[in-house]
Order: sequence, then C-alpha cells, then structure tokens
Amino acid sequence: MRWRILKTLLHKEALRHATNRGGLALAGLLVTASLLLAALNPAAEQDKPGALIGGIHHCIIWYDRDSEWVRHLDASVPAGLRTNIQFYPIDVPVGLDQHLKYPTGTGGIEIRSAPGRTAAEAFRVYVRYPEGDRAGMAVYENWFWRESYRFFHARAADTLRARGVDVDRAFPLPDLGDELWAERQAYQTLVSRYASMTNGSPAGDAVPALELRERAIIGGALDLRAAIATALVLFSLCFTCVYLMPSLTCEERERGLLLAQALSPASPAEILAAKFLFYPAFGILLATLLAGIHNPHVLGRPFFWMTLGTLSVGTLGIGMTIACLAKTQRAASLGALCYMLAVALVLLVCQQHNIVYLPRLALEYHAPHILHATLTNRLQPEHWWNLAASAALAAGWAALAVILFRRRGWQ
Amino acid sequence: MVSPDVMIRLSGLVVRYGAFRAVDGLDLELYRGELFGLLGPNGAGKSTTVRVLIGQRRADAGQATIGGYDVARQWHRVKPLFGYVPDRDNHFDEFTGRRNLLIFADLYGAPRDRVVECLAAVELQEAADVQVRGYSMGMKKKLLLARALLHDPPVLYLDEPTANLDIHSCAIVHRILRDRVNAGKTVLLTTHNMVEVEAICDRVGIMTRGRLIALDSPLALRQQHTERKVDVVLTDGERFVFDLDRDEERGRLAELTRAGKIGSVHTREFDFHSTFLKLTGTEFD
Repeated sequence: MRWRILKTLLHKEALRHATNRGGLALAGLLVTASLLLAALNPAAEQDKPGALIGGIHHCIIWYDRDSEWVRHLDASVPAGLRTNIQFYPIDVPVGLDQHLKYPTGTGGIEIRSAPGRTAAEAFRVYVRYPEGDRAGMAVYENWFWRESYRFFHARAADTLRARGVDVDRAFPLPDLGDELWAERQAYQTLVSRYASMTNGSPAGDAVPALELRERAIIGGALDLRAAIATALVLFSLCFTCVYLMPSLTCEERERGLLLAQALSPASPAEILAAKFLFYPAFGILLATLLAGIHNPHVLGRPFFWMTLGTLSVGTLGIGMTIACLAKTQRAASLGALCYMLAVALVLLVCQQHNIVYLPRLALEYHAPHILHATLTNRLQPEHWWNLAASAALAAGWAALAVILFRRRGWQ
Repeated sequence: MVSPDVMIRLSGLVVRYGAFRAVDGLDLELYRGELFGLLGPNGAGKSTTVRVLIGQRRADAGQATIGGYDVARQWHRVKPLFGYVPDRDNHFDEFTGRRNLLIFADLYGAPRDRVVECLAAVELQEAADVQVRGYSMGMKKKLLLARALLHDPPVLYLDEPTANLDIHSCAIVHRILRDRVNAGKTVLLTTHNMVEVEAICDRVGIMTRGRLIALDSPLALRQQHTERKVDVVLTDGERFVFDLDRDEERGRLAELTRAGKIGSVHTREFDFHSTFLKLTGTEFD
C-alpha cells in the first residue's frame, strides 16, 4: 500500500461525491430531518418517558404453572390479536417480585401463583407496561379479564350445578361490556358472589382470588423520536455503503474508469482499500452528525463508536457483495434497493408471525436494537449480545465480499 | 535469442473464448522506435491481442513480453512501461479535463507541469477547465491520448486513435505519434483507417481469424499484392474491366482500341485499402 496512491484515490472519491448533487441533496435532507427532530423535541423533554409513544406491539403472557385457565386463554385469543399475544412459561427461577425481561415496545401479563395463605388457589397478576404507556395495555387487558371471567364463571357454574343450583337463573353470565375497569370489577364481584352462594366456603376451589399489581417497565417504551433518529443513522450507513458504493463502483466499471485506474500504478488492492476506507468513513461521518444532532452525549459513549464501526463494516460487506455480483450500475442500484426491501419484508413477516430466530441472522435486526439503546442511553446487558452478533454477521458479510471479489474481481 | 531492439514480443499466443480461438498462435515482434499498425476485419483478434498486452486477458498458451518482462508473470514491472488509449473514452465526466489529468498524474507520480505539457500537446489548453461531459467526442479522444502520455511511457497502445477526429486533430495525433517514434518509443495502433496506416505506420500486421496473414511495410505489401486493371467505357456506353495481367484480356482491349470503340480508359490506382481487402478475403468486385 502506497500512501501517495491511496491519498489520490481517496481524493478522487471525495471529489466525485462533491459533484454528486443527488447524494449531497439526500445527505442534506437527512441532516435537515435530524435537525427538525431535535428542534421539535428539546433536550429537556428527551428523557421524559413516553415523549412520543409508538404503542405496544406485543403482549407476553407469562405463567409459572400450566393450567386449564392458561390453556383457555391461549385458545381464546381473538384472531385480530393472535400475532400480538405470545404465551411463555416462566422457566427460569425468578422470585415472585423479580422482573422478567421485556423487549422495547412490549408489555406483558404475568400469572404467578401467590404464596399460600389458605388452601385455596390464589394468583398474582402483574400487568407490565412500558413506562409512560399504561393505556397501551388496555386492549390486552380487556381480553384477559373477559376470558378469565368466562373461564372461572363456567367453572363456578359447574360446581354450583353439582350442588343443585339452577345456574341459568341464579348464576347467569352477565354482559361484561368493553370497559376495562368494569371487567376487573366484575371479576371481584364474581369472587364474592360465588362465595356467598356457597355459604362462605373458600372461593378458590373454583374461582381463585386474583391479586392485581401494575408495574412499569423502565425504558420499555418505544420513543418514536429516538426510533426515527435510529432509522436515520442506520439509513445513512446503508445509503453510503449498501447503495452509493456499489452503484458508483459499478458505474466506474461500466464506463471503463476502473480499467483506467487499474492500468495506472494503482494496484487492485489499493483501489479496493481506498473504497473500503472512504465509504465507511463517509457513512460514519454522516451517522455521527445525525446521532450528534439527536443526542450530543452519545458521542462520548464507547458503545456508540463500537456500534458504528461494526455496522459500517457489515454494510460495507453487503455493498461489496452487491458490487461484485452486479454487472452494471443499474443492476447495482436495483440490487441494493431489492436487498433492503427484502430484508425489511422478512423482518416484518417474522415479527408478525412471531418467528424468533430467523431475524437474528440479519444485521438489520440487531442494528436498530443497539443503535436505539445507545441513542437513548438505555443500554442493557443483552445489547452486548446484539453487538457481538452484529460483529459476527459483519465479519461474515466482509468475508463473503472478499471471496466474491477474489473470484469475480471487477468482472 | 531476443534482439535488444525488440520491445514487444508475442510468441505462440493463443486466446480462446470457449471453443472459439480469437488469437491462434500469433508470433510477432515490435521494435523500439517503430510505429506498428495491427489491422484486420472485425473479430480478427486485434483487440484480444491488445487486451493480452494490457493485462486484461490471460493467454491460454504462448507468451507476451514487453521490454523483456513477461506480461502475465511480471505485471508490476510491465505496468509502468505502457500507456493505453482505448477506443471509447473513460474519463470522469464530472471533472474538468485538467482535473482528470491531475488525478492520473498523481497516480503515476508525474510532475504537475506534465499535465500542462500534455494538454498543450493535444491542443486542449483552452478547454482544460471545462467539465469533460461538455467535450466533443474528438476532444475526449485527445484527452485520452494526453492521459496516456502523462508518464512518458516507452510503449503506447492505441485503439482507433483518430476515430471521430477532424482533419486538424488527426494531424496533431499523427505528429505526436511520429515524434514518439522518432524518440525511440514503440507505438502499436489498431485501426480501420487505411489512409492513416499508409501515412504513418512503419510496419503493419494484418490479422484474420486470429492469425497473422501479412507482415511488412504498407508500401511493400502494396507492391506484393498489386493488380493491374483498367476500367473501359466503350463509345456505345458499355463498361468493362480488363485485367492487364491476363493475355486474352490484354488482346481484347487491343482489338477494341484498334476498332476505335474505346470511349475512355481509366487505370485503377491500387491503394492499401484494396490490398487489405484482398488479403483478408473480403474483396468484392
């Protein structure tokens, strides 16, 4: 590697981008969007939870004991919520009041057996909602209380029928309505009514007491502004390394510019190195500017720089792979767009159908998690795993790009 | 034994595209201080030969050396020895002509003054600070030549160097090429312009179907392959072509002349173009 050659090639890349009005306009738009986002969200309000809430896209039903009740709930999830409600057993040893992990933008209802004060069944129901978004759980809670009422009412009716009570007349199923407070109240009424009809015998033999506790998940809310800033930062990296780099490289190849450079004293390795240096640097510069506008404190966090470094290597690997496979500039541009759309579609489909592991093979799955965490300063231990996975995927893409380049060269 | 005057040597060069042999056992030597024209119809193997010389295609058999260095094995030594003018322009259109040359001058490590010299040599000084996308085809072609001259290479390859050039620009290019040859450099050009070949080439090689079928100076080739024919128009308007190398046709022409039936007689000037057509088997009557 000769610095004189590298410097000339880097200067050439910089000059080419300085004359690329379309690219400059897009970069300007990204910066403008970031500035507007910051102007509309003063720093004082940035840390206020729920400044802009994106809703709760998933509700997790945790249960520590499989039961008829849980199976009834699982079977009675409405079709419209089928993809939003997930059931998981609590299979890790956690204390009654210990917290379970919730991804950003999710809430949950935890059904845990209460410590035995009496011989009767009793449960604690923890409603967990992202901080600042209590209302986001309403739709899930509505369903939960209504179906729980129906299940335990049916169980109570069977017991009463066995005792010779005319259930249809004395213990009918009331209209529960759609109000959440009314449904909760109805359940308490069910407990006391059943107890009175059984002459004060413990209700828990058919209708257990449900002790409601509500807890906010700290940092669990999706801050839409941080999400937009995350998207802008990620887009800036994808734009430079996945879109611009293959497109301009293929243009150079198509127009014979690469040949002209290859016939000069510049070696293919130097031409490649210049591109490998310039595009990630350009992407990181743009991403840093956008992130800095959103939250200047992020620039002092090592995790942010590790994230940018990892993602720039990954996106560069993707871009080089596209550049090696595409023969023309048009094919490279379309290839880059198709790649980004395809990945977005796969991630969306996986999210909608609760496919857990496949998205983890995409850099684009981990990238928003770690970027959002660092932009909002809500770093959790699992984000280090996201970063490690990103680094592994970035290394994989870079290796694929190198293999393809060695096999196909500049075609 | 290679003569010290040999700059480019091709020996038994074979290049295949699948089953098709684009170059089929080519043996050729080009000397220092020589302007060599490589001719042939489309698909004859000229461009493939040049692609081997500029390291863009590996030979399937045989060897190509420049200045004694093997193109395939000693590429890093071969690279600084040549300049290449492709048949279609490959400039950074968004840059000015000067900026284009400055980038390549920096890559070659040539002094920046050399850019001014090369621009002046091809008479592009006035357009030096205009974006290349505003250049005419001829100006782009001249800029290609200026770029190839930046590092003053001992060998220059040119693919159709005067295509799209006006007469004045053609004369400039021819002068530059002759000056280089006089300075002991080697120039290899491929062209379809037979007038140009006759005017400036010291030697020509004619290729067809991947093989070299003729190799000599343009004048010698013309003399070797000349034909003597005359176009005759009779007084009644009928036209004939008589081959004077054939006794019976010569006798028939004499009879017509004696009978006073000849309206006019035109001798054919046998040029290099006809020689080329005859040699490559594409001649038509």
